[in-house]
Amino acid sequence: MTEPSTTPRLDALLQAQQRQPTSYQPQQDGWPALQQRLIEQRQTDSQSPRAPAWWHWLVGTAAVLVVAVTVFSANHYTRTAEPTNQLLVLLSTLENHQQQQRELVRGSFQQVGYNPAGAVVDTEVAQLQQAAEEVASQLRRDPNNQALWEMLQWLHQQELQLLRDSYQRSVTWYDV
Amino acid sequence: MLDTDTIADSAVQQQHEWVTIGRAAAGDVQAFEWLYRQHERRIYTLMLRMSADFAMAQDLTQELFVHVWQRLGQFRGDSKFSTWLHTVATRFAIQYLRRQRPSHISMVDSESCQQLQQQVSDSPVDLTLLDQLAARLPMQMRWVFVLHCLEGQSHQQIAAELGIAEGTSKAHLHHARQQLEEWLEHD
Repeated sequence: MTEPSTTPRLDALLQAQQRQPTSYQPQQDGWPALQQRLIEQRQTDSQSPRAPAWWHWLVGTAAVLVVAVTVFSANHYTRTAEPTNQLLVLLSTLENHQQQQRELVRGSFQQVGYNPAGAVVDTEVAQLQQAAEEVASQLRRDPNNQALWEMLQWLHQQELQLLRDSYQRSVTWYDV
Repeated sequence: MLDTDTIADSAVQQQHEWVTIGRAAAGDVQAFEWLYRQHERRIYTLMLRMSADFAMAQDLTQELFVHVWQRLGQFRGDSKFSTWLHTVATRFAIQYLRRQRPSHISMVDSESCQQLQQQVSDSPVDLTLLDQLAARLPMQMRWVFVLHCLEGQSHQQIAAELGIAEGTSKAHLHHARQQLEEWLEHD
């Protein structure tokens, strides 16, 4: 990292820094002031922060398919309803679909004798579910918010992936 | 050696961070606090080294996190969040400090030096000898030294960030090392 030198004392200090990197704690807790600014900004900014771009590829084809099918279903069965109502139907359909997928993943692994995930993963799954519920709740108030839709789909995908990974991991641990 | 528990813990931690970023990007201030607490110390240290000023480092840290709050949506997830944050922080610090203090002003003039030493002696933060000395370097020379020797960036990266030639970056580092060694010998 450093150029060859004729500065042995400096090199000794740099090597000590590399072995044990130093970091400093701010003299004051900056969070209260920062929090205040963020809240004020959120109140004045009607446009909420955009969803991360990487969600687009994370959600992937499967999510697009789910949306396409559910939108078609919602359109088919609620032709005369307002667009907002259609979106709320879609939201319910998505939530039901997620519940079915969750049970399917758990059931398919348990059926063949795989062990369920540990407490840590359960906590993570619960957090994902809670986050999804919060997003769904916001969507009911603002059903035209595209970023929220993408986020909900991403959270659903992550929950299922975490469940699958945890079962696969538990198999690896016990088999080794 | 990594064991499966470590890998699993790391995966869960990564998962948690992603979910937290998603929540923060949606406007969840509590989720953003978690990110702030995780990275505050490292960012403050970078800001302190870049600015050589305790109060400015505190301001810079806050301004940076406001900046990040507005731009969380730009995080693409193709690198670790800490790497992305560090890159944003470095760029932000350079732009901010250039606006605050013209680059021709050197911290090695005696008045600035006295102010800095007073700050160091009054501060409850116990700076290492290396950081105390690096803080006395002229601004651009200090940035090159900090980014290369303490943050591990290449001259190519530094040159791109600072808008200077690679050779200039190397020359700054050479002079910084000479100056620091001189101070180590004579102070």
